[in-house]
Amino acid sequence: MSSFQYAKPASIEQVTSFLAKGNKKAFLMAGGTDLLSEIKEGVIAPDVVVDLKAIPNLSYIKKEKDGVAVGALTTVAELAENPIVRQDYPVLHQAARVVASPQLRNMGTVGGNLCQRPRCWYYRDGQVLCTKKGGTRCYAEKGRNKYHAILGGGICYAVYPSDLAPALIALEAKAVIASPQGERAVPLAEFYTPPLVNVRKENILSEQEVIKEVRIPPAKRGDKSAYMKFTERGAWDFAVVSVAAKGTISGATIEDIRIVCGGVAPMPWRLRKAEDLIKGRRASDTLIRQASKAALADAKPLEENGYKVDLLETVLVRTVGSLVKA
Amino acid sequence: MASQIWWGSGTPGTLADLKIYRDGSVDVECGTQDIGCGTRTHIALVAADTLTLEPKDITVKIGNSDYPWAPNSGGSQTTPSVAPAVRDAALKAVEYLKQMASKKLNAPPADIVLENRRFVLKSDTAKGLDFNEVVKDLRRPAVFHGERSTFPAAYAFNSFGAHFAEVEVDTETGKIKVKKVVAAHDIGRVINLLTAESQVIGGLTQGMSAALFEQKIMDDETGTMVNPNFHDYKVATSMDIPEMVPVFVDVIDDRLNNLGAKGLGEPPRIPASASIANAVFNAIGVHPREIPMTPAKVLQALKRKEAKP
Repeated sequence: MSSFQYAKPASIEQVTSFLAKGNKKAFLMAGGTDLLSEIKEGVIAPDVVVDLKAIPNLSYIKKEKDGVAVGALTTVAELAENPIVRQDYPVLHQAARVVASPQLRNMGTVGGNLCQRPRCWYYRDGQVLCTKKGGTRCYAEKGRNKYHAILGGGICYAVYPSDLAPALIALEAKAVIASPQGERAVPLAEFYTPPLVNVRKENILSEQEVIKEVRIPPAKRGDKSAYMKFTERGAWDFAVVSVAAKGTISGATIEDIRIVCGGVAPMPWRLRKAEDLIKGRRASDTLIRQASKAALADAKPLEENGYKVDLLETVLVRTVGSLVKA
Repeated sequence: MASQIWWGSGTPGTLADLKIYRDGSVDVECGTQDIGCGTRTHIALVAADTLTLEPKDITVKIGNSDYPWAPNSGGSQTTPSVAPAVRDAALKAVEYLKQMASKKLNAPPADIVLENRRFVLKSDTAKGLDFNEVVKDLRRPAVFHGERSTFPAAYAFNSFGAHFAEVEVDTETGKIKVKKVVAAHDIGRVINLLTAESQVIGGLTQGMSAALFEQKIMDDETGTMVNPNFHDYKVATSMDIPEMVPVFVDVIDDRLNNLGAKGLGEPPRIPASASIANAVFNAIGVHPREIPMTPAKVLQALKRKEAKP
């Protein structure tokens, strides 16, 4: 572990103006559950760690006219326990409560969860220089890849592991991003970027920007949503595959639906093909299974992760099916 | 179901010294160690039980090779080696103290029994002397040497056991959930039920974790283990633990040693993974063939079964 300077700004403005100077390799830290292990394992070597925890008034869940606002420093545990979230956004409640373990949910924050780095044992090995760290190749592509991407892979097959991101994208949430120039709100559906855009990072944040808040549109009558995470063991495990689905149901018809998968691609992966096949039709197990199969025809599994295609199909059928049955 | 057979009958020649001081305090010295065998507990229990004292009255001194010889801890041999040596020393102490009591009580030693910290006459139970009243007459601390005896010829000594597992297999995801395991073992006399049950729970957990999760994943190209941490090398969590029911047959075989006790180190671990694997076979009709039985391997096994004509 290399030594680093420690900065503890007292406001978002101080953070962005610090980042604007741009003369040092600065990394933002909230709960620290991901960042500190990256430092310890030699994956990154910051010059400065910018601790966001001292910033006041960034931990909240507020019901407002245009939806619910969640402060970036709200912990995952607070999100999981919040009655508004539980009532209005089952998909987000269900996603938050299965993140990692109770200890990590107590430390990890909403902003941090959305900005965590991907999971790949080659990327997380300080000795391996892969494409994501400026190297020339992805070691997973022809190496050990049972947990790697089955969709959207290419120059990097690391999967994006966040549980909250697929749920929030399914809910059409936006991230409020602060920069020295001010604030902008970006749909989370446009927040993540595939490896081909810039393999070194996973989202659109510039080096001077920080997520300040997440805004979720108000829940409507007829909204149904659900999150299912498939893991190998009972706790402290990232998703092998996960599915977030939000639908507008009227009778037995799925008027509208958004399906976003986690753990299967380098970014949260929206299954538009499945959505299009399901939308506006009477829901049935057969329809949902056909739509899932059709959407997964694009999957390109590697040598050891073919089972993830089968798993994803099963979890899709169960999650989407649960919207209609609920 | 799966069964186990193991050695675990101890090593003849193991030594232990029991030292009694004039103030009634007792030390046991033995060159063994407690690497989780519950050694401190069973030494104190055996000495206290034989002398009719409380375990708290016994000071256990172990972990020093200057103490009397004992074997390494491996092969389930610690308890059946050490406990009989302690028992032997304590029995010798009782005999010696009975001699002392017989002089003070003016009665033959054969008429004296030690019960509840008191040497009393069988012929007249009203007459007797407290343990401390006897030992205060020792001229110096008395040391009694105990030794674990040899095995009688022409016998084999083994522990036996059988585990019964109940599992649920999700045939669409390949995920296995172990619901319940009953683990029955014949380890002779159970020296301490709490530590014995705890050992079974530990061995079962370890075997369940190996059966379902634990795997060292090596990468040929980089020559490294790609999951060298306790996140990626998956050990069972508390959420994965089934209901566990340890059962002891408790058949005391006096030919084993002076306690009729066998060891319980490896036994609960031995059938733990196999009983779960056999339950999985019983549930889905096909063997995943190797552990850990991850969802990927269970799905693969199910496909193999489908492919069969």
